[in-house]
Amino acid sequence: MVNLTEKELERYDRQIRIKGIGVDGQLKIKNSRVAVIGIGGLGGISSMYLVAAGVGFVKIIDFGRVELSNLNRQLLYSEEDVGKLKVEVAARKLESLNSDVTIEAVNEYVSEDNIGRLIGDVDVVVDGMDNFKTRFIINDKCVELGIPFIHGAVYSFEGRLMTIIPGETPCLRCLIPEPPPEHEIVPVIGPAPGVIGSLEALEAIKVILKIGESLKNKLLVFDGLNLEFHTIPIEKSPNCPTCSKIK
Amino acid sequence: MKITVKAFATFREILGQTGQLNIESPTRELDIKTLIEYLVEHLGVRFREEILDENGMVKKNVKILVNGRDIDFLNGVSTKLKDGDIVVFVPPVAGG
Repeated sequence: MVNLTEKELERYDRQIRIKGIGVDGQLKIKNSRVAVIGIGGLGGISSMYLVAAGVGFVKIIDFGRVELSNLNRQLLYSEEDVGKLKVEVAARKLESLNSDVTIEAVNEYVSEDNIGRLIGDVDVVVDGMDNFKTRFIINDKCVELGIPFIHGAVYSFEGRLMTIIPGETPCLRCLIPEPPPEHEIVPVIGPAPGVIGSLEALEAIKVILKIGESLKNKLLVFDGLNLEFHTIPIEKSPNCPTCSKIK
Repeated sequence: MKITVKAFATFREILGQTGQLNIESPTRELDIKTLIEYLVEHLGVRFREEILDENGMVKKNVKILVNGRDIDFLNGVSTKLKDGDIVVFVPPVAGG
């Protein structure tokens, strides 16, 4: 394992000082590989924190272009970026945030055909999606390959968060057995994905470091309107079509 | 018997911005099924469409909690309610 440079020791000084991280923990972060799928309200924020924390390899996957209506919450993008490919703008901004991190920008629509290739080389997958059809594709492949999957979603002033450790915790299909009807346009206030995207990055870092208590077997419901955090115990579904395939 | 009903996301909008209803039930016997019937009657068609499928069953994607416990691990829609219980409806949300 390579050591940290003088510059890295200075850059990550405030987190290296945390009991439970230290230089060894920072090296684990440096040697980790994370995919963030969907670089919008959730994925934009979580990718910024992961890159800032020094995750060595961050793969960002999206198939959209920046729209004016993204700018109330997707803080990676500016007015001048409207119309440009999200992954290209995001990669440039993330590289300027931390040039030590390798960013791989993938401009592809996630499907059952490419998901194995897209996430097969990472340690953790972070959910930045805006629909359950794609989330289920990601969930199923993460469970199959044994890759931790940090699920996040938002609506209005609310958010949801769940950490899925294949073989150990319920998966997304245990929580939501059928894809719910998709709302074409979801109402969202910017800080809601800010909160959930930040917590997704936090959970991913904890999974990498194997410290603390991850949000396992629980769904976090963030109620921004009343400023309350609720956790709901979630159990594995005996009828889950995805989990039941794990030996 | 007093029951507090809370709801999130699309359900919350049906209940009003506070997302909370305080219900005083004249009957002493109340379970989740009869509570839903009461709510459908008082909140109208939108609540019914959000919570029930075409067969009149509670949609599998909706979590219903009684005092923080999922009714799937209690007695389902037959879970009995008692005075002071808090019932929470949690529909899935998809935004990113």
